Amino acid sequence: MKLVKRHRQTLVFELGARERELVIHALRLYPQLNPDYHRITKAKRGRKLEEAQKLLVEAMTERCAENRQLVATFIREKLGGAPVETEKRARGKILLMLTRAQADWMLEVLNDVRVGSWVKLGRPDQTDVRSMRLSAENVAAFGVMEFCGYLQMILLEALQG
Amino acid sequence: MPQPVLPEVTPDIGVKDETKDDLDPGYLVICWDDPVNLMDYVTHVFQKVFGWQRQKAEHHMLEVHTQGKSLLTRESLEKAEHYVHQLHGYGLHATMESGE
Repeated sequence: MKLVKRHRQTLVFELGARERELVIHALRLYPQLNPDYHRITKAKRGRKLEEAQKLLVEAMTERCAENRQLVATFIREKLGGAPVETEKRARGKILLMLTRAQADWMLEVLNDVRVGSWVKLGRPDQTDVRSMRLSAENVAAFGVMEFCGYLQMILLEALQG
Repeated sequence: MPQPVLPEVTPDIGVKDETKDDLDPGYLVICWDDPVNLMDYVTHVFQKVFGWQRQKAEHHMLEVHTQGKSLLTRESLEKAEHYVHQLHGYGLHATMESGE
């Protein structure tokens, strides 16, 4: 995936056919993090913070349900089904046009998949290769984590440029 | 005619005025380091959630990275909750701790 045009409000990326499939696959893995993964505080909780923890889990559950629907729509309209106005196909490649808000949302979804994969891998220290051994069982999760990170870097660079 | 009794007034030298912060210590919003979130992503999220300029967001991201955590803001319970929800939504490890 590479940025081919940057307008004031929109970003246009080019994706190869195989890359498009990989992006769809990564997005379909959403969500990877359970809503109760999140903790509101490190402190011993009192009544107020117990309530705040419940609200956090509720908010994350709601956000997750909303994002799941958005992922399905995004794949259908931007990466899947029939070509739409913003999508042109040529030589198996597609042009993916995103508003800045859509790029930001895609970052959030990919980050969930990346962090969720990392949790599945046992939360290895990325700077210490000894903290995780690659095996037939975990190589897929590792690949997904790295691929999401790669896409995130492209989106961040495009948003910041 | 009796003289009115005036209350004794003493100067409050050395007595600190109570500020809003003294009355309500609020909650500290803290972001914690983790080995998975990309540095540029953390900066981006701080900019989005707090509306900070890139330089300030980067400063806090580096604090998280080098010191293990960064105090992002001190707010009322509701506002702190709002920020923590936002940060969690983006997958960052953030908590709110009592400011007392």
